Amino acid sequence: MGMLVHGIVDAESVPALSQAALGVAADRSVRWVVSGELAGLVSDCPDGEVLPSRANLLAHTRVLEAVAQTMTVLPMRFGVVVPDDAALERDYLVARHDELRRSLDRLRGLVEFRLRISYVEDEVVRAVLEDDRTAARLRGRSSVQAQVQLGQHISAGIDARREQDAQAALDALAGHAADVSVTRPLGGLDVLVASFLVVSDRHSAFDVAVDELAERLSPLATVELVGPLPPFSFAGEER
Amino acid sequence: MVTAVARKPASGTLAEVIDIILDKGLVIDAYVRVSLVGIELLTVDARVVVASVDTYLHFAEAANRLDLRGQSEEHDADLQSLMSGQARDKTRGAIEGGVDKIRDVFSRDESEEAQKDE
Repeated sequence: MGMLVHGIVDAESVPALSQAALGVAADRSVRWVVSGELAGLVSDCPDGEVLPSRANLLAHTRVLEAVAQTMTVLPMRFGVVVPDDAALERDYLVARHDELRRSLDRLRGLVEFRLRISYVEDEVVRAVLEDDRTAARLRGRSSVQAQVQLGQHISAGIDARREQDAQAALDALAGHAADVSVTRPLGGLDVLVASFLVVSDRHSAFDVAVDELAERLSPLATVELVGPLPPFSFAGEER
Repeated sequence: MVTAVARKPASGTLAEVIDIILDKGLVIDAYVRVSLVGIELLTVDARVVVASVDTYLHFAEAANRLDLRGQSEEHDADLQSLMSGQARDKTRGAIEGGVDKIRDVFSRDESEEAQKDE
């Protein structure tokens, strides 16, 4: 027997939590463990171990998403299982009280947005060819060696562009966010994958800046924005 | 031109946020109880894009199928000026000499491959 821990909220916020809404979101029974000023959101997991199945990952995400709509929540990484209420209270809510308190205060009213910018393959290849005459000359050659050379030119051209475009995107958006966390570059057609900590206002300056950025990048690259998420990338004390 | 940013809720795009859910967020060190065997494979797979011959050939194919309208004349001119200027440029000559060597190796491989296929 054990309990999967979803997140930590201010105990004052607990009355605003609707068991019905959470249960529907998670497709399981979600409850909370209150300790002083803090409360932990948990759901039971009978075998004491959680498999990273699609259903389990979605349930965790949905609980946090539902909660984050009405209050500040410190999200747990998926897979933290405590044996019982007493253990959660003793080993975390009490033991780490000050740290959790500070994080909740720091993140009040802030949510995470996950931004992904990706090149449109044909468009970026075309752009590289326009700048790289050697590459343009290599087009249509039949030998494998010429094709590998051509591919190397395209790849190098995309890498060079990525650095510039990623930096320009960060420069355009960072000023509208309280914090930024850049994910290790993925290569390929990805330009930038980054999380932004922003005020949870749908029509914030950040939102407008993302729209403007997407317009500037079109048709070379597409912009995808996932969120609002609870501040996963910013919840840790070390930040 | 109006460009729509693709906006999505997290629960609708698990694939987009899976690395956050599994890698970020708070942890209670003593109580991490999730089998990480499958996850490591999954994230490594998604994150590492190795620059390989396959990647290069893929990009070459993309370049070849593009219709670069209005650029062909310009590039023909480039080619001509490049060819006529070849002798002047010793450095380029040296590089192309090296390329020829590689080309020999490759074409030898290709012809061997072709013989095997026959």
